[in-house]
Amino acid sequence: MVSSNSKEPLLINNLIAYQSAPSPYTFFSTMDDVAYFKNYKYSGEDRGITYKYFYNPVAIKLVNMLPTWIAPNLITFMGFFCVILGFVLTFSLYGTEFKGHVPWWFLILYSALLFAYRMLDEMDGKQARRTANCSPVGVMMDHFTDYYNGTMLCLPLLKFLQLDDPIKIFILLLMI
Amino acid sequence: MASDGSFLLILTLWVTAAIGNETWGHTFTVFGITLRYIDVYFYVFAPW
Repeated sequence: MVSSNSKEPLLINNLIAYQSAPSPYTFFSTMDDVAYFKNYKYSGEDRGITYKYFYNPVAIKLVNMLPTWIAPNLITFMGFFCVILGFVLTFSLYGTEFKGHVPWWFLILYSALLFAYRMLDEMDGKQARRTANCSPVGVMMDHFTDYYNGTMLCLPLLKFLQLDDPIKIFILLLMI
Repeated sequence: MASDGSFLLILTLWVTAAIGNETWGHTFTVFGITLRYIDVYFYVFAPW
């Protein structure tokens, strides 16, 4: 436990000494958990066919065209904005029910927004590594926005395909 | 989002837009899921 008369600053290197103490950062994590933050490194991989032959090579070429002053988090938010735009346009123009005809040009527009989001999501990490701007905040922001994007991408798709049946919705979600 | 999943979703939207009938979108969704399961099979059992 942290002694009450301790005057030392709470340095990350000293946290291992306070393993059993509750964390000042979150209610649920202990000091032991906080000590792991220092060594945390995100490692994810995508072994999909389209990733290997399309998304990855194209994203590398596009990132090399970007100026270095563009922050990776800005790219993340641009992708997030594409998803929000598609979501808002769909339900404001064509109603909030998962029924009703949506014109073909809107589906093409939405697929372009979906593609832009997916490509920007691919590019932000590459831009971060290119400009040596990797940070835990960037990792958190990237995956934090992905949680919202996953939901906001699926709801318009349910409307486009008239999937108002729970079983059909479940089948579509398996595809993603 | 998984790259193959997003690719199939984009393809589904194009097919639905081209045919203009959402029922075909259903059919293609089922086709997409079949492809996705084959994809996951390769992902898990035969990584390259």
